[in-house]
Amino acid sequence: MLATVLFTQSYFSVYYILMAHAYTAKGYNKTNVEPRRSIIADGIILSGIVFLLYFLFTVSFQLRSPINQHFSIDLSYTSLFHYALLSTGRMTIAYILSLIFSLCYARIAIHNRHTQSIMIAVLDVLQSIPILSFMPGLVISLVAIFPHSNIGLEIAAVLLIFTSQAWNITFGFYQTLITIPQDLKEVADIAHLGFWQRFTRLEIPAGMISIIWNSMMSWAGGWFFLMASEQFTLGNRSFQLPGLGSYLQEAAQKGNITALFAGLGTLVCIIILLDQLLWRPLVAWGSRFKIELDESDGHPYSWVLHVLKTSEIVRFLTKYILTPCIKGIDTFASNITKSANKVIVRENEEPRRITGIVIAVICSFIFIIGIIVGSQSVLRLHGYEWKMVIEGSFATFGRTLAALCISVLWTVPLGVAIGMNPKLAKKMQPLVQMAASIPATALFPALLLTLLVIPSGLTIAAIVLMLLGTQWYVLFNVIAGAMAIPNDLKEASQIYHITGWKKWKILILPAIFPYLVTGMITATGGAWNASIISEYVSFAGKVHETVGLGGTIAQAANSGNFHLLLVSTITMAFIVFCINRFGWQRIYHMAENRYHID
Amino acid sequence: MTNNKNQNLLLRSEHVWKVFGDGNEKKTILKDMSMSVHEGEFVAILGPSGSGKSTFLRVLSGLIPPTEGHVYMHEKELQGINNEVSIVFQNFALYPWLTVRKNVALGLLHSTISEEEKEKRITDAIHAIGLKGFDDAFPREISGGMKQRVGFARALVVQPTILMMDEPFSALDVLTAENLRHELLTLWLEKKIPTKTIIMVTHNIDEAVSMADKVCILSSNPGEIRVELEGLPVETRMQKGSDHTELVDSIYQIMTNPKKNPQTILHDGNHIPITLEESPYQVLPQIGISKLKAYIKKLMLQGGKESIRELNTNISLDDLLPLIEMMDILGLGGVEENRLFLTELGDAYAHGNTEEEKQILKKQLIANVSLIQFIMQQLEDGKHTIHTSDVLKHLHAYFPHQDAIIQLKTALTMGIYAGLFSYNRQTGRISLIEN
Repeated sequence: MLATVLFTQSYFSVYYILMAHAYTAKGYNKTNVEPRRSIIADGIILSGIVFLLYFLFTVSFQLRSPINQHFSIDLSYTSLFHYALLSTGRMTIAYILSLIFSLCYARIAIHNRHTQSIMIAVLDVLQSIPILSFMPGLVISLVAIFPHSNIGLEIAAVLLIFTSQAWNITFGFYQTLITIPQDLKEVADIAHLGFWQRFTRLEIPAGMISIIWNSMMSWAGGWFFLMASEQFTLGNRSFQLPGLGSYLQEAAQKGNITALFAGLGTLVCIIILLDQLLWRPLVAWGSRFKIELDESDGHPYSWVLHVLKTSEIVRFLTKYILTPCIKGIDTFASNITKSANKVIVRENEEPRRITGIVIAVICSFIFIIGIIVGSQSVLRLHGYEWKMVIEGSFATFGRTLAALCISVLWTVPLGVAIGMNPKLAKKMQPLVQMAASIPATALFPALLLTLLVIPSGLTIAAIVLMLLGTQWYVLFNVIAGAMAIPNDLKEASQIYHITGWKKWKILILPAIFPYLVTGMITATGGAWNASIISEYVSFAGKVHETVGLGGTIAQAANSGNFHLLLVSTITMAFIVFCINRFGWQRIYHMAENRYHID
Repeated sequence: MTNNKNQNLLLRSEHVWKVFGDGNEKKTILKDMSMSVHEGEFVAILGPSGSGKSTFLRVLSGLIPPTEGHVYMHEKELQGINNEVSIVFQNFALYPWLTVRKNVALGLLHSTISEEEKEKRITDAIHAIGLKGFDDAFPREISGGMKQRVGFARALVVQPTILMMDEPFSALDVLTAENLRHELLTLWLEKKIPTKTIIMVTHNIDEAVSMADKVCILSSNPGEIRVELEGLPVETRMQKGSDHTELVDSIYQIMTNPKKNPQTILHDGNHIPITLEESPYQVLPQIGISKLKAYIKKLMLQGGKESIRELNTNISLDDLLPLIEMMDILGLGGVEENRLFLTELGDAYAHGNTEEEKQILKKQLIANVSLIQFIMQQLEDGKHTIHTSDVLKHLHAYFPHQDAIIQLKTALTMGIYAGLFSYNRQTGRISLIEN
């Protein structure tokens, strides 16, 4: 806290000096302003930093103060602003954790052959299980650990978002680490770079583009889980956290349509602002990390990056504060890791084998414990509970299938139309992106409000939630696939008058097939995730439920039935893992081999 | 070869072997390589692709350890990366996110000298190598020649005892390469750089002869030192006089006759037939059927004879050597007095229409290619069809896994082209085509 205060003080004095300097040198004439020393830029930067501080204070106060469990959500607009900041704060904390985790995990994984094979296999499993199935269990246990404050719920929310954000960043970074060109690595070897120098000069820069893009995707996915965890209820017990998710839920329960729209609008605003203020500048800045040495045209542009580059304040801060700080840290870290860098290059793998064995032992230990606990639960489960699990599995499977079918039915024609028609793409792209940016869970309270009045409304609501959560993956993949169809193939089909259904059969469907499958893999996991929060809900004081595995999990958590919770959670993770492993991945490989276009 | 310079021994490899893979997948890359490098020497390691010359350089630098044998620096066995070595890479290996200056500085990051000294050395290296004014440019903003200059500056800024270069000029266009070669040689000969020895890996014969004191020729698959030749005197090296031409010609002869003792070539130099090794299967050279056809037609248009040096200006050595070998195996051509010529059959092949070509190829494949003979024998014996995995299983006795696949692929492509058999990719079966 003290550091931030000091920082602002020095910041303000610097700002005034610079303002004075700028005014005397340039006058008020706007046309005189050169790219460097832009007053407007400085103004924007200043207000940006003030806002950032406000944001930090809000979030840190929320984390520090124990709030009583039975708070009520206030539907006023000032609270909405406050809630929006809190939600963004949770996302930020989870993201920072994910980033640190990803960098460390991937770096350790490439350490040697043994760590690589084990850690990547673990990551693969983690990636393909539906995270939300662990939420009821996680929330219940964390609330039990911290019964008197919201900290347990906060941790649960952050953990959930973390698990939705970390894997793909890790995978992306790992992929770039193993594909760094050999000669670049040899340069580092020959120059005797230490661990830190190698990490900062070679490995992070090489992975930078992948880190940025995957971070963007992680944020998009994270909103889904944030909303889910903020509005989480089990039966008549509410585990709400103050945030956008609970605001939306409260608005829907009260039937307050204006508040509902205000909440959704705020969410969209945050997403757009983050895109403009954070991701676009990062993408533009990140283009320098392309590994190809050749100049290619088409640089991403960001006005924010332009502002940052032209701001005198930023330049001053960079020169006198940031650069010396970074240099100090760099020198310090380089010196620490230097001695550890005795390169022993002999084909004697003994010490490495030991680390491999240690990891293998730990893994098998966890595995055995898991088997023991799991089998105990399996043995103690009653017959009717088994029936619930099995029936539920089929019911949920049917719903996910319905959601997937519907999404394929409408996304394939639209996706192909957008992908093959650049003009349409230009018009539709922003619309589609906007629609896709709204996390399905944010819409769920509104869905319940409209659908619960009709018979079997919850089943429909569940399918719609699955659909909303998954269709975008499929649509974007189909668009990408259609865009990737080589022009000459399209021209060939024109020359030979292949049109209508024939064109679909010969050209379009085979070309988009691998992409479609990729979309479906992601969509499957998403649909199962959605079942947890949609098959057993309490809305406006009433509990609604429908047969389904997600409902079983939520219900078991609510009633404290540990064995049922464990078995149904594992069943769901197992089903999704199997569908991906033995269903989609096989189809994908077949598609890759058969319909691959070089 | 004798070394009458009698200078200090710097770097020495002793019976170095390098084997990649394990179990059945073993592939010998380097075979029993012993070589000495003395102070003041410029050594060129010359070899066709697959000779493991780059691997050898990496073993000498300590980047990768030898499977067997030892490398000594100052007569002390090398453990890990050689501290007194720096490398210039074929594709520059610049970090795209660092400026020219920071790329050069990379070499000194580890060094303990003072900051001022570092800055001074970096500036000196940048000036010496002709990069003045490019300090803040990013690699993607400068030309290929400039990029490699950065590569040189980065290597020289650490003032290495040994400068190693891995095909440093091969990614550059002809003029830029020539220019840079000349500049480097001048720096070296006028002792403007403190480097005591240069080791250069190359597949360019002319380049080796123009620059090096000693040319070390490798054979391919596995890489083995065939001969070490004394280079030309410094005075005549850069001028392309008759000495130059003579040495280049001898090296061409040695390299295009992989099975012949180099000493006999050097001594008589006359008609040398390519002799084939006695083994169950010959190693099929990697050249596509359409390339083979194109080159044969081209040769026919040149009057059925062409000097290998002349051919090398249009065809890279990596294509030329397999081409010569394949023509020899199929009985379509041969080498005589440094010229590639077409046989009568080759001439007929070049003049024939598609059907005639196929007939010639068919006959020659059955007559000369042992792997095709094996496949045909299997096809004619049994049910007129055979699975590729069976052939592969058989080949594994003679080839490492990857090589067996490549050999089979080559044989399959040629056999299918000649209309001997057909192949179904889905089922992996080869079937006889009945006439």
